[in-house]
Amino acid sequence: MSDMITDMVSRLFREHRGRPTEAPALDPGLWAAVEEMGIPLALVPEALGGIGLEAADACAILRVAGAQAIAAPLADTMLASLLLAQAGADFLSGPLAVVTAPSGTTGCAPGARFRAVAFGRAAAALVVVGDGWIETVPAPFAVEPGANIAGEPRDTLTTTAAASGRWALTVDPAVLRGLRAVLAAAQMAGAAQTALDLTVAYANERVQFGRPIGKFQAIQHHIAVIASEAAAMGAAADMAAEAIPFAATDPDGFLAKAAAAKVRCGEAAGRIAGLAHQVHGAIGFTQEYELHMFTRRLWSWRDEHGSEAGWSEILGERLFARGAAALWQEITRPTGEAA
Amino acid sequence: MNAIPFAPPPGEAPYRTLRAEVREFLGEALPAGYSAFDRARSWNGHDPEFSRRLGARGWLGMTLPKAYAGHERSPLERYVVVEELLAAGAPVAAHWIADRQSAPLILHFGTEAQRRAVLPGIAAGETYFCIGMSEPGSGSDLAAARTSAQPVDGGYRINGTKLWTTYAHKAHYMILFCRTGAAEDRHGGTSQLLIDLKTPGVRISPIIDLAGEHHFNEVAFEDVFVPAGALIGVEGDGWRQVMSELAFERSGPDRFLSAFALMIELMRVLEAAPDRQAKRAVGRLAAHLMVLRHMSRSIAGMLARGENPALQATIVKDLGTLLEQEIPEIARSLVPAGIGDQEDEAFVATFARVLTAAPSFSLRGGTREILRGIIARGLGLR
Repeated sequence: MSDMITDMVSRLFREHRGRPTEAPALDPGLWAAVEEMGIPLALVPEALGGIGLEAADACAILRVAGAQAIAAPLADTMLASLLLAQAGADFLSGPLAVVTAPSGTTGCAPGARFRAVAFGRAAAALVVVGDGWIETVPAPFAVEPGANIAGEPRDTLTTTAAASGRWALTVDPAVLRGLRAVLAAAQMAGAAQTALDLTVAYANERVQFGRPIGKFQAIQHHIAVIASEAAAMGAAADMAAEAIPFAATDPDGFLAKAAAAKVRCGEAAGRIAGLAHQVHGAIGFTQEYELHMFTRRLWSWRDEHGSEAGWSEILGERLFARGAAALWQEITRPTGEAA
Repeated sequence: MNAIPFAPPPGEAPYRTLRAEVREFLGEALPAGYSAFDRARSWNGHDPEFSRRLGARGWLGMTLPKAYAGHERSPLERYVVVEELLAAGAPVAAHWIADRQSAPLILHFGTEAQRRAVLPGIAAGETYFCIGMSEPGSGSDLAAARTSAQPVDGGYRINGTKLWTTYAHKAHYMILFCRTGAAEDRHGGTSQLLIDLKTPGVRISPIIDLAGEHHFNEVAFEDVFVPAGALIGVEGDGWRQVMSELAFERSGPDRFLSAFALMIELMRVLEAAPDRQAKRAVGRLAAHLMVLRHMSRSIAGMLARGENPALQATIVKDLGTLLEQEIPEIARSLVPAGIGDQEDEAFVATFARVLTAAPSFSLRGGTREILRGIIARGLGLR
């Protein structure tokens, strides 16, 4: 990511870092700054009207957001903008959410109901993905508030307006699920990094038995595991982000990377959250201390957009279809090259 | 920020041809009937003829200068060759230590005479090395080494014992970590010597492992005289040098592919009708392998840029050996009849070989506990 963008985004997100005693809620000031910087278009290729960032840059932005417990539907809005761009539609100003219509429906009529919409209460419009079509549906929506384990809004929305636009869907629905998984993995890698940072800082400062607990080998080994798992998450998220540009031309290859990233990040998330709490002791279990913002997000995000169970089955099925003799070729196949 | 950065690895495209060449070579160089059981030896299969053929192809000493019969290729090209050999379970043990760590150590710290004496043979697949680190009283605590090399007229007189010396009985040289003088701190006064194992007074005795195999040895030194020219690098600087040798030892894909032959065997016995549990298990293992490979290629990229990836290598080794050790446990949980009632003999034999080798995965090259201590130090905790 270009240094200028990194600096700007990092500064903005640091200023809007989540607060441990407040439920995550979208700050209109933050959103105005996000739109000002063009972040909603981060995933859109420049040729389709994007702002000249690579897909990996978009993931880097999400990683910083995860690291600062930012309360905003960044991934959904980026993805919605990508879908609109690929359909040839005009961009909408956000926040936006991407939802999937029930199989067999031919369009999104008023009264359509969608569960677990990220920051649905704040959405300006929905991008509804159906079988071969996408539609945009503007607010207002009837909102039944809901939240994930981290307290992030995951609302049930019922549409009241008719669709404001309709286009042919150009994205394979499986690829769309893969993109969601990759964006989630990026955020998870960021949250894991902060969980590590908090744990190292706490272990250096908390004194028991006359010395900082970080001097005890048992604690050091817990933290070493956190650091290793966090590094693996970062690598997994990077690996999948690099594959995004090939999502359309090599969907199989892209999905393998997406699946691997979500599986690896999901597995590491539970391990990191558990060990970070173990090292922190009781203080980490309080609402006033920051750790829970990151561990609860890790617990939430590992089960959003496909868990380890689901994605490992998809990856395993693909590998069995190719056969044992082709396992190494599959593992080493560069995304974008023919199988 | 305590991030331990794994920079994006270089793209794969420039290595496509080389990878295809190695795969083609393996197709004809491995003996007919080279089985999963053979492959499960991983980098413990010893075959000098195979090593010579690799050398003849230019795939040993790849990163060494041409002046020493090397090939001046990049660490990333070497990575491609090494991972293809490991994935195929090729018999690489003869040259493994020489190519992986002895050659770069001698290139960096050795004298011109030492480089000329050993590097061409390593690149040819004809000169083999063993490691001279562990001792009866010095395992994880390498600085407790007591083997002494007393400076005498014209050289050193060595007394002491090295232990767990893999393939010493088939190697030509050892790089000996030893004490050459007194020092205030325990890392001081240590040096590395290049030992020709034919030197009088060197006695190599076998140690049989729990699977009944002979890889390990005890190497005893009794008043062994070596000339002053055997000193590698600077006298008293052995600790810094041996740490750099360990960084080479820990950085490669040999730290996550040791059980790969069993993973393929497992897929083979399940692939007629893989159930959901099998798909999930194989998908999960593949996810781990893909991510480890991404990390390992990142390390190769760091080496190519002249950076020091010691901490990253430590992480990959810890994560990689955990995965290697999980594979036999997962395998036994997935086969329908249970290992004891399995009729597929090739699978059972491969399973047994990997299972009984598995404890060594997190011991050799630095125990899991030592690695985690290194990571903790990297995070500023010690």
